Amino acid sequence: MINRYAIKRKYRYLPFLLPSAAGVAVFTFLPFADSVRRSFCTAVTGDLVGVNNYKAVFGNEAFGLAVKNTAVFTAVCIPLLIGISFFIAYGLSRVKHIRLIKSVLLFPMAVPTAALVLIWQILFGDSGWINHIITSHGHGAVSFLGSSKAFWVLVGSYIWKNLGYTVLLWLTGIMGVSTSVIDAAKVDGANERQVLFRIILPELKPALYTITIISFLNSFKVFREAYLVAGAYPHKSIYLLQHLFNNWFVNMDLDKMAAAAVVVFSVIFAAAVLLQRVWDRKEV
Amino acid sequence: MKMIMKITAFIAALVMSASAVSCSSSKPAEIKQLSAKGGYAEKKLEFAYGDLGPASEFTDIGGKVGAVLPFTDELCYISKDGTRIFRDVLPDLDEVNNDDIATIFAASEYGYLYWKMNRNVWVLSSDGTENQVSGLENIMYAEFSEDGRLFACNSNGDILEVDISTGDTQKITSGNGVFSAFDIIGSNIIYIDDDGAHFYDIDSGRETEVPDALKDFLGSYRHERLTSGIAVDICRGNDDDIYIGCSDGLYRYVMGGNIIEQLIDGFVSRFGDPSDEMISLYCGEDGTLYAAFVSGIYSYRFDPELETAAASELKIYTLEKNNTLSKLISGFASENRGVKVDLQVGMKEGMTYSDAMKELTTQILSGNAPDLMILDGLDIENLIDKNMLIDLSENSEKWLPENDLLSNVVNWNDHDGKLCSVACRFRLPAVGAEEDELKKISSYADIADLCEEYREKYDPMDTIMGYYDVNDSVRIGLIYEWNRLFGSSPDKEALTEFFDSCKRIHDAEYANNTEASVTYWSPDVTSENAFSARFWGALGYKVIATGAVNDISRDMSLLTSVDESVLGKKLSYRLGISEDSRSFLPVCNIGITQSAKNADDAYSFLAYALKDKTQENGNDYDGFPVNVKALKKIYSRNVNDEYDYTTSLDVYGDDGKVKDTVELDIRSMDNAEVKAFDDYIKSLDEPVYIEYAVREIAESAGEKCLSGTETAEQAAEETMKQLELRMKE
Amino acid sequence: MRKKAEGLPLYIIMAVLCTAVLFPVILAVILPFQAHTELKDTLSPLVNFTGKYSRIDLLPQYPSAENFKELLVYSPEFYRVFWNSLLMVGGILLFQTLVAVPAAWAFARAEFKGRRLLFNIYVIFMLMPFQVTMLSQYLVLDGMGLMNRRLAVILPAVFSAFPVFLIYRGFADIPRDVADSARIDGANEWQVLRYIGLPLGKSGILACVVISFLDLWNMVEQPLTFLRDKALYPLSLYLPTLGADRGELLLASAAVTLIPAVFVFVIGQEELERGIIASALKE
Repeated sequence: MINRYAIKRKYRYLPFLLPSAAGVAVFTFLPFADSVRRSFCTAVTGDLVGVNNYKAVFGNEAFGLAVKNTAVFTAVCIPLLIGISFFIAYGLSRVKHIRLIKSVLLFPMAVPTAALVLIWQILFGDSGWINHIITSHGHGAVSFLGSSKAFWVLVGSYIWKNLGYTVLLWLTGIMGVSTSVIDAAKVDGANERQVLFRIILPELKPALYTITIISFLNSFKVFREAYLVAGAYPHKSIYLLQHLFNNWFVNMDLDKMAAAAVVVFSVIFAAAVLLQRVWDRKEV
Repeated sequence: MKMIMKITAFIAALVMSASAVSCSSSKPAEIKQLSAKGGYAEKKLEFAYGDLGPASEFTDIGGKVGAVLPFTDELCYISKDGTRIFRDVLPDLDEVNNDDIATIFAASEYGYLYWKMNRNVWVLSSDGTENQVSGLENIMYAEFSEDGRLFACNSNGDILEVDISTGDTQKITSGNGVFSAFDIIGSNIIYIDDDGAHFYDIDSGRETEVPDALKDFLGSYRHERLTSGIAVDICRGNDDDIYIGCSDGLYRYVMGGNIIEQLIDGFVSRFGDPSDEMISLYCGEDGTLYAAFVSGIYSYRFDPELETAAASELKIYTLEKNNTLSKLISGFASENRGVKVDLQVGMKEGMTYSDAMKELTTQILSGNAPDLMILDGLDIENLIDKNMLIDLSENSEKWLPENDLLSNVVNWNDHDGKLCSVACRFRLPAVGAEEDELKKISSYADIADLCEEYREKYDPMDTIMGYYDVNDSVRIGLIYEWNRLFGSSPDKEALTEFFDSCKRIHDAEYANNTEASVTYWSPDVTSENAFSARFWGALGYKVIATGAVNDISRDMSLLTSVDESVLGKKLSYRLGISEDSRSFLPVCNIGITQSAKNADDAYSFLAYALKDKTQENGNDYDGFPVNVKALKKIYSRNVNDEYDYTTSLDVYGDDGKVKDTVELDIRSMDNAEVKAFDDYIKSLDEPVYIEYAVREIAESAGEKCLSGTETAEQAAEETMKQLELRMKE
Repeated sequence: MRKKAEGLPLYIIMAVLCTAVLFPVILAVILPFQAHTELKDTLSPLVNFTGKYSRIDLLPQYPSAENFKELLVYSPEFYRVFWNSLLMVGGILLFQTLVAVPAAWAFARAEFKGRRLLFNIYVIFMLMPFQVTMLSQYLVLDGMGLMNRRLAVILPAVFSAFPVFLIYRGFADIPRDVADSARIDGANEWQVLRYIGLPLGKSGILACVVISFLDLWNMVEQPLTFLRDKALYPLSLYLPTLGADRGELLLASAAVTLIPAVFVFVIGQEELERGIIASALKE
């Protein structure tokens, strides 16, 4: 009797999951499986070549550059975003009338990319407004978009766009810490810093998890801006993985594309698994 | 507040959707294709006197239906049995014509409207009085209505009614932009402007509704989409229907219906041949259709026995639209009626190169690879690396013609005997200027020096380079410098010098807002192929001619006919930028794909393209033929004088004023010149193949240099970086 | 009293921050209202540099709606792309929610082996950038005969893992006992979802809808790769076709694109906040 109940329980959720899982299988898993197959074949003719493609990918200079840039970008952006948004959220939590400020911070998310790109060109372009201000004070014009500074423009763009959502997430996390605990600690003589570090921060772990994942997801989206501003072959510093994949596609280098796709997937998979382990271990 | 916002949002959404729904299209017109058995056959009517030339539209004068020829004042009319053309002089026209009528726009029993050589428009009424027409500058078309009223339109889109007895005009309505069609059916003027198709009722003086089916169909032939002159002609049929002729073929529409029936496909008839030009259409009483083209009058009759079903399909791919190819296809299709040719243009309107490549890749992968590819602009090396193209040398018997080919040109892309792409035509970069100056030119930088010198010394208001587009200095410079810049690997110094030259030429040209150009060429030639047009300009003005030379009868004849005693200056030309350069631009490079489903027809197509008969009859701007027999035939055209003519032109002095009006004889090359030319092309050994992707990178950096956003060095640096990145991938 | 004074420097910092954040947005909204002549000073240096740099007039001297007029009246394509966007985004959101809600519920409530693994796979696939599998996706869609139809964009997005991830967080904190007690009372799982899950997880679902909307409204890669016909292009693709040389039109259409997005999140903001609160609390 108990067994049957247990079995029924397991299958109970199947119909819930089925549509989504089926869809994901067809539209996400299947293409990926195709990529895996292709990673072992030649580009167009489809002959099996074993691990040649992987060798080609690892030896490919452009791949190295793209990976480095993407990794550096992520490593710079995400901590920056998390850090800045946390400070802002903490600041906001001590202040009243934050409704308006929250709305303001969310606005950037709604701006379409193409318009954003034009604004960046107007501001940061070689003949843009900021250069106008710089030159009218007698200095030489600075090329923001065509030099390694483009990297920082992109970082700034990313942070600008995602600040709102991230601040909101932190804020709700911070607000969610029960005030009674804080008050009790204050009564016990804890100062602001101790309240922050000992009580609030630990409660924010789940928020951190969500924020990290979403920020990571959004960091890939920055490709759109980079592509619209600088085209398929931008300055070295903002040459990302997606640029490479896009160009490989155009040049019919489908074998390298597939092998690299599998490599990227494996890296992300490994990182996610690692993160889970670390997370779970921290939780007692 | 929240509530208000919600309500406004809802209303706004409704409004937007409403407007959107209203513009979503109703059922589109159905275009019925030919059925498998029985179709319309095209037949050329016999006419002993060659081309019709700039004839008028079809008209009925005294019961004879035909077109009026301006130079001979004759009506060339269709015989009763519809198989021949007879000629008949029109006395009233003859009387008035002093050999100065250039084009007859409209002709009927009520009178004529024509253009005289001095570009004025005149009317001749039926009672013999001739009057000059006022207010019809830039005339484009004119037609008589059935009741004798005369209407005309100009290139601004104005429609005017012309009084045949006085020459006065009155504007009755105006359209938007240049018209691509203007015909009167019954009481309606049908015209197509930038906004699409319109009906204008001349009796009521108002626009009337165009049936939806027709609107969609005709709307796609707007002028801006087309490359050649008259796009669409419409005539009235016998059963409340109309016939429409356009580059895609001949169509029939029954008024009030929803179906547009295709009677004959442009591919297999004169309609689709870009080297010919349609003048007008006419429907005979027995239902036979006649179409007048510059090359003659053709009849279209329904033949129930005609096989129109295709036994096989040939898929051809080309990166950019290309008139040489269209002509090849239409010729091939008419010789091989069982093959249906499906042409795919990679870079369709508005598409970028990378989008086109992605589309091609996915097509190939999903099993829809083209059979035959025109490789111009594509990265041929990459395609060969990916094993996409067949080695043509293995089956050479399937496509090599019986006659010899210029193997130095055709096999330019030979990789140790593996031949995956074959050039069917070629162009030659050339430079033209006064002889003393020409001696000094051996690189693009030298041309820049000369250009600056000219700008300093001579009239600032005239053009020196005759460029059509602001970025031409980069584009044209590339055909001279390509191998030096990008040969084995990109050369930064060479690039810097190149961009610098481009900038200097650009600045010299546009310094004082000079007028665009003094030359004229047909809209379907790109500026870099218009060398002869610029050279023509150099005859009279201080012009440095640059670009590529394309053919013998027109270009080479002009170049070799320069007579110092007539012109008063020693104008000369050189093939290749420097004395020892033997470069050529291979054009119409053909390859056959490995996964071609229809390799047999692909081979036949290639064979057709290289055949001597085909190679002899190229379009003007196609490039030189590679078939040796065809070349010999073209050379031999110099024997009789039928291609010779005399032209009168104004020669300007150094002060910018007309010095003299001279008559220059343009003769085909004589034997010595032919030999020199032939030796030269046999010694060509430096192919200049311009890859679209690399050109795009160079041009975009060049544009920044020309517009001043970057210096030449920065532009060179940018180009280098992009190319290096590209190579690393 | 003390708290307020303490807050003042903070307020100032916040004010500065907000201005900095809003500046580009303000530009995007104000610039299209400028007349062509003023806008020329801003835009033409980008296209043709003659030594003059871009100037910006923050307060338009001659505000005019001519850019909007040109967009709304003279560019008929605009309505078509707007409609396409509405259609696609609306369709996706509707079905996405229908598919993702039960799936998220299953993840939150079920306990089967491999649940963790499957969920992780969902997350990882969600994180893969589009370019990585774009070719294979194309071939799958082509094999299904969906190329060049709106469905090619709609279907993959409907079955995306992102909404499942977001809604899952909303469901995850519903106390197990509440649901279990409903089960014991005889309700089957669908009823539990409907009467308990939905009301409690409503904010999470709405939050997901709002975020998804903002994301989809600006989606570029998928329509670009899977749609051939210009007639099917959504608004987000129409914008990149206008460059700096038609900058006025671009800014005007961007401002118009902004409006629905603003509406959606102003209306949904309350729900968004509540949803984010819910999603931040750990399972």
